[in-house]
Amino acid sequence: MKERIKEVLLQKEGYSPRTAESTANDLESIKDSEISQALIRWIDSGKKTNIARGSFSCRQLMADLGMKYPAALIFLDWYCEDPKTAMESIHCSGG
Amino acid sequence: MTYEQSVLLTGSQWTELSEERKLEVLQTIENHSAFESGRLSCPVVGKFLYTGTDGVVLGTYDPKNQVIYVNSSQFASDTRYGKDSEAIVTACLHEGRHAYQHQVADGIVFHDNQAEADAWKENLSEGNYISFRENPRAYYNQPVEVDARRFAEDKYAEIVAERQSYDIEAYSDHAPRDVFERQLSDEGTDEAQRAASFQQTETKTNGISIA
Repeated sequence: MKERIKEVLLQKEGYSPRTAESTANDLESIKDSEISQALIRWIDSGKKTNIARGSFSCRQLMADLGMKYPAALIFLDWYCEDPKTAMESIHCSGG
Repeated sequence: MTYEQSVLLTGSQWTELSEERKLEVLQTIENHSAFESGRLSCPVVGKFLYTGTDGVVLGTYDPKNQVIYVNSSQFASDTRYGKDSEAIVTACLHEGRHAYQHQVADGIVFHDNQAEADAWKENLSEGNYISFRENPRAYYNQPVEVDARRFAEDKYAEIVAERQSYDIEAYSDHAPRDVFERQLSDEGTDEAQRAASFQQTETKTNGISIA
């Protein structure tokens, strides 16, 4: 699974090899089953399921914060696990 | 504005300052921080950055133009992070640290911890830096972000301690602190007028008349 994710990130999403590696690891470690299913669907068909957690959704994270779809899935899973840190990460998200 | 004045203005006066004055405070702190670390200082610019119901982007650093942007939507006292100076000053210090990391990686500035300098250089090199939009979790945990957060937290704690020490000094000099701070936050007054006005106020407060 990890290799398939990496391939999609590299070829379709324009990730660098290093970023694809770490992102594939994080995507593979997603704990929330609904988010995990959305990931599999996206890898298999390219279709993006709009998952929402708390006041965040994939669509909103992509539109407002410019996140790529896999990044939005990682954020939502992280938000479920540790909302305080996930939200804090937005503060200086511009680098 | 002196660094001491800027530190004092991060206290209870912060919410009363105009946006222009807040930027002046942030610029003075940035200049001081840059001088201390031997790097080139960056202009601090107020700009509307993403402001959502939950998440707010407080600051960002533009390495190409070497500019620090702070979220001007959080300057008003009725906003989520406008109630005191902590969040916005910490964000400014955080972004200033990124300027330092870039200057270390580019060989402009010497950093005495070689292992850290090497880690930043590797992290910032082409293809290694992970952006928030690609992977927020890995972005947050990469070396340059971890270091910038730690630096900004430590530095803000120093500013709070300095502010307290300046306050104590002001009291021990029998200076009327509230009047002094009001003078500092008075936008329309130039330095000479402010000094004259302060002297006058102090004279009145102390009940001393000079013939």
